[in-house]
Amino acid sequence: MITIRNVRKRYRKQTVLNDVSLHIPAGEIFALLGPNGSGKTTLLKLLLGLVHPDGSGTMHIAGASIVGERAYRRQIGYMSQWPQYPPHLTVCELITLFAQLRNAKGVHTEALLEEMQMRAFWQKPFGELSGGMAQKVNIVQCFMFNHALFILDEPTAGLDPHTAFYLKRLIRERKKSGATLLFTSHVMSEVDALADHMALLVDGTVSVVTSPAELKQAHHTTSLEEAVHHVWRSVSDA
Amino acid sequence: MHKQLHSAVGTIALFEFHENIRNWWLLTYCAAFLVLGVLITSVGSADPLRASASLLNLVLLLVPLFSLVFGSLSFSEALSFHAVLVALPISRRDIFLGKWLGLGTGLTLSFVIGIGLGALWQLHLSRTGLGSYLLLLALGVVLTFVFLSIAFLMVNLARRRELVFGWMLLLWFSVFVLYDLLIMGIVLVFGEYPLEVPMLLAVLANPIDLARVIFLLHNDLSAMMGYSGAVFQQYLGEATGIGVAGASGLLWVLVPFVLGLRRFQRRDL
Repeated sequence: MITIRNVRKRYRKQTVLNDVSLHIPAGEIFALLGPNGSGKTTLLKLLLGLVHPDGSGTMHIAGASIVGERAYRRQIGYMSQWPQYPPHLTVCELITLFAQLRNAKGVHTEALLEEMQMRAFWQKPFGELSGGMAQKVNIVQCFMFNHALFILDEPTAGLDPHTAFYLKRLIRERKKSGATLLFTSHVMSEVDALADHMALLVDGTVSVVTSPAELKQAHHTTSLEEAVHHVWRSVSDA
Repeated sequence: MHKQLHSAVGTIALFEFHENIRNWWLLTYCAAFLVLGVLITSVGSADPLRASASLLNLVLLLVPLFSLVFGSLSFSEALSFHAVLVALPISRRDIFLGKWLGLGTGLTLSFVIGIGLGALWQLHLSRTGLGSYLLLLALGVVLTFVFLSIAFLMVNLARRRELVFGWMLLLWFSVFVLYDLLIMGIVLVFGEYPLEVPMLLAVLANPIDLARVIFLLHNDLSAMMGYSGAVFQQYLGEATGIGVAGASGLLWVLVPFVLGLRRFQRRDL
């Protein structure tokens, strides 16, 4: 589904991604891990065209090059880390805006609204919502369509347990229907429960690509957190 | 494809407009023009032309200041939202243009309602007065879009978002106060030299001066003109002068808009 080759990105003097190559197979849930500032969000933003790559690296989604293109984004649902939408628009207006900009009616909107009990604040301005409620709006705009690819930047951050549980169920359901899901997270239990494969980014470089089970086995532990800790330490020491 | 492009611009502009008309700052802006406009037209009701000329100073003071500050804050605060929009299958040009149109329409409406209700208050405007009033409205609208374009350009050039507000105030102070002081200083120091052409260019280089000159040339108020305006009238004559000034005003809208758009298309979000 996603193939990245030799991608580099610098912000002024700081190298954020250094020759990153990665392949994410179609129909998988893929987790992108790494310490703060390791380049996870930058990599997601590169895939979405929010930041521009340096040098001659290539990025393909579903076989087509995406650099300088925008039509490919039709098949992507994106959940940003901290949703900051216009504060005076109501939840209803925001959801309508996203539907209109995609020129389509959300096929899952009603179910999402019901499940996350959003009717109560449907007419509330976005600026009056709590962080958790704002994140629910973010979930609806991302999952209201049947996309082929979902890119989620720390999707469960700030969510109550009920909504976090529901979101994980959504992620699995979308995978069952054939979608590919790429997400970042610092919660190892979440990665362990969801991800088919994962990549560890350290200092802008992909250190390991494996499955959670394989990583735990390789480090003789039942804790993914511990296994990831070992990898990061060995990379840092090197 | 082309139709879709227009619909994305229209949708963003419409939602941007809805967002802004609920903003207290925009309502305050409208109220300020309403109160001050009524006050000025009431005091100067004996001479509608003089009232319009007084309103001109209010427009030249408030419209650039508010368009710069409100435009830049609105754009910089929406950068995270722009990132979500860019992740949709729409172009950055559509987002930039939609934002510019929606915000510009909100600002224009606030200005026109505020100052227009002042005109309604003054129902017995003479024909001459009405013409000046309409010109004043048009100049205010053009200045709104000029300074909105400049605000969008500056936000996209600034590396540190928190400094944008300060930059806007400095820019406004420069074009509203420092610029004329500089021109006066140049005239005093180099008064013995032929300064007609530099003065003409100086007027064209400042949209506030440009608006003032257009208004004064149209109303034949040479007594109120500064040195630069007098040169403008003498050198180009009324009709040509207004034409050149109008074209310059259009350039002042377009050039910062295009430069800001190019920067927005290249920047990382």
